[in-house]
Amino acid sequence: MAKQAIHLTLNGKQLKVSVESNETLLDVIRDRLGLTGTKRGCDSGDCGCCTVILDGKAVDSCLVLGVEADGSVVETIEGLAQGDRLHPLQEAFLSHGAVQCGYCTPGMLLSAKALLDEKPDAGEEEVRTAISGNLCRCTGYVKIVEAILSVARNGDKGNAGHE
Amino acid sequence: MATRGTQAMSDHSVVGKRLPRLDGLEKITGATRYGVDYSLPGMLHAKVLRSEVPHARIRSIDTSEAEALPGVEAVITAKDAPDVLIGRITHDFEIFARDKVRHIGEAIAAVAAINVQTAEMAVKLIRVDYEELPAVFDPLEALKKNAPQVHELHSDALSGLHKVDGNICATRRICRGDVTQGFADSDLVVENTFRTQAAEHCHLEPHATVAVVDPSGKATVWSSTQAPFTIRDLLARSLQMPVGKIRVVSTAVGGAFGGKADLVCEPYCALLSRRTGKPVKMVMTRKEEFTASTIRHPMVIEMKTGLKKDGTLVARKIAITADCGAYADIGDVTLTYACIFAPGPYRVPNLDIQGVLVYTNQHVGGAMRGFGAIQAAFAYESEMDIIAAKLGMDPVELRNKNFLNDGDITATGQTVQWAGPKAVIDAAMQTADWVSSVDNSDPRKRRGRGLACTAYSSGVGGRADFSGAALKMNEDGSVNVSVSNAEVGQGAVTVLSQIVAEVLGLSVEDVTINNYDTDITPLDTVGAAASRTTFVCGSAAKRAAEAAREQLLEFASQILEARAEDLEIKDRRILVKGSPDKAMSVAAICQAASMRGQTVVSSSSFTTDTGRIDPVTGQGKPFEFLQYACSIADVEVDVQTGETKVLRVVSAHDCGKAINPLNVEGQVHGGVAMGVGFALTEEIQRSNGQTLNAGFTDYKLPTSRELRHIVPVIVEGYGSRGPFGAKGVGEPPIIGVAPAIANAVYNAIGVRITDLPLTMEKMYFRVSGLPEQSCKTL
Repeated sequence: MAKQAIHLTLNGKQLKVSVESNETLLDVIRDRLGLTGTKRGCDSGDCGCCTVILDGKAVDSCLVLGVEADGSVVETIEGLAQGDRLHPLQEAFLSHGAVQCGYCTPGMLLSAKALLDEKPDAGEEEVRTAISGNLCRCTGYVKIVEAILSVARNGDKGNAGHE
Repeated sequence: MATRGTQAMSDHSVVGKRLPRLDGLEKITGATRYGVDYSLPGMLHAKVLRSEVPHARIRSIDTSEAEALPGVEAVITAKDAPDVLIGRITHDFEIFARDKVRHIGEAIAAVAAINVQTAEMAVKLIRVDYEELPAVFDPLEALKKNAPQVHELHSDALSGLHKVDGNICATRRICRGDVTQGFADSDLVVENTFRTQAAEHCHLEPHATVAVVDPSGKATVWSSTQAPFTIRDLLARSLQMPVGKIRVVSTAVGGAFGGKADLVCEPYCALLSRRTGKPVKMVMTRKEEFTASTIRHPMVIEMKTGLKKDGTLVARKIAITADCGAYADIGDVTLTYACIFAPGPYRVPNLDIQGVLVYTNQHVGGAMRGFGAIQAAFAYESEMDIIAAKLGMDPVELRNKNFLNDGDITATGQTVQWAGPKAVIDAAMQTADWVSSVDNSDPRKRRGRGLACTAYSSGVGGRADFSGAALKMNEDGSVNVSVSNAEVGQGAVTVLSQIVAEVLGLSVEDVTINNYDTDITPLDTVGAAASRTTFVCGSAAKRAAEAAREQLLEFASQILEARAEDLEIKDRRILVKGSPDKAMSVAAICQAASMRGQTVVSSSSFTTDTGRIDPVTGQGKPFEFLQYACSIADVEVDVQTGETKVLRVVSAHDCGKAINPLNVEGQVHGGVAMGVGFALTEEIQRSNGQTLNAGFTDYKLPTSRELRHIVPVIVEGYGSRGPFGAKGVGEPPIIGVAPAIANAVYNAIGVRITDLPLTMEKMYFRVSGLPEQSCKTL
């Protein structure tokens, strides 16, 4: 299969990576770039474990071809904290007990971030809708929703320094 | 969240605190390494060829084309594996089908190749010549004379090979009193049949393993497993290797729920590594998770209850037929749990419980959260509401009248201790405002409320269940604790750290849990399963910490020149009673002790005071205690479409002592969520042994939009021998959800559902009264 070079801005860094034309963005992130924080759960766009933010939108990276992402800005879980400084959503997930096995957590956090980046004061219905494509088998979503809402209610204050 | 019950004196500094989980930081930053993330240089990738037919003799297997494919390094089949039957209880399974396949999805061959794609292509090039055999898919059909025989021979750990009687894998019987007389003495006899379905664990991380066999023959296996010692034992038997030649290390586990205690990828990786001399990795696809790893046993439960006019239970005769699928796995124990819990948490003087585990050519049943008890609870708690309706009695009064209280005798002849049924049901009712009426103003969307009371226990039932723990202190006062209870998301690391920190007067940050490496960490019955981590492993860790504390105080008494009994540890400091100026930090004591060649090293274990039940009468002491739970569900049924929504579930639990209430709430939320899925949508649909919905597109898990209000209620004060009186809470939250919902549906629309799940399609027909066959998918 023919390889093709694509350019990504990944977690703020510009890079060029050579990919097969049938490779998904998930394959590229996990297998080519070694960023294993993005999880593979179903390979069919059902579970949301592989959610990344692609040009500002939360997407299932298993449903995007690597070549389709050429020229895009991609955010993965590894880019959420700024150095040692956690994103407010990460802080909230920890303090609210929104993490159990943690396998859905990266995707959940990115779906939540995409929502709050667009709508910092999102309400419960918007939060529940935004993460409805992210399955969680451990938490019943209760503390996840609480955690995201706690950040949403802080509005811009909570997101300061994370743009 | 509400906490009720007798409040123990809160003189703990760490135990009982809502501490965030200690493995949280790595999880929220994506740094956690799960099984799927493991990688070694030069690693090959494995794929397994699985049977496409439910029952067939294997005439021949041709692997030549697969072997010739560039990039393929090895292809193995049964002829490359020891000819030995294995199993967790019953031995009837081989890692590769040898002469026969018995279900779709059974492993026939495995390939190791330079990448996953090549391995997948090679698997497709393997030719299997099958002689198809008649198959049987229904356990009741399988019990009939002349039904196709799934197995000819099997064995257990003690006996040699023996003939399988019909398709009966195992039986269980529990008898007390005289049921015939009991029914004769009854004023009312109620009889119903309940059915529960096949369901899948759906841990979001699939099974994943990396194995390497070194030139000395030692196998090291990194696996996403909740039960490293179980994996080690099964591997040792299947590969005919001594256990000392196998090292199993649990990776971080992305959900388990009972599904990660079986051999899944491990034997193929180990055999292929031995063959190729290279590390081999295997990750299951989601489709394989649905078709080739274990599932929840479907059961048919026939329940006949005799009682007095005043609601006093007199007799119960219960027949349980469990479909174990093509292999036994742990089905014998699942059936035993179903039988033990089948009468419900009630005094029933006359009992006859008969269980049968039946082989079929279906997908194999295994351990899953709620393990036998969830199927039983759907039957007994539905039947309790049916009885209450017939008697015109309040369902709460009926239950309160019959609860097993301390001193009462259970089905297995055990005396109940540490039970608090009334406190639990009262706490749930108060939180749910049970007596308030539901808003039923909309004639189309009918609302109702229902409840279920269940009992379970902590620790592996029917045997002595044990954990070991080893502990050492470092020169800076920090502690390493070695245990073998995997962290599967339940919070093992945090809870065990809290227990140890409390005993040693330290902070949880001082404690590192070194977990689950069979070469290093102590032996353990089954790891993170059976709601046992806090109760059994936590007890072992507490004892090891107590032994360490004694050593530490002995060293401190020499250094501080004070009597050990005059010392206490608080906030990381060792204080001398009456001499405040003499205090030293734990770190300084450890440092000073190390200069003298003294180091704190301790180990301990904890074994439950339980054992097997008699094979003939079912009498014995399978569990240390009964722990009660009460689930109250509010539902809304659209009488035009059949759509059933769960508006709220209140779930109250006797935790003994909540070591970490934040964690307990998380367990309750997750258990209830899984229970709602089991009640409403989750069912593995099968036709002729073929799974029709092997993925999340068609197997519907509850999402954030369906699960709205889950309200945990923690009840404390009904202790146990566990650490600080704690009981496990991993499984209880799931057990009563389905019957509470079914009872709420009856309350809403007067329709009794006796077969799970309550899908929208099923509810449409039940509500409308239209014949159901018209819409069968099969």
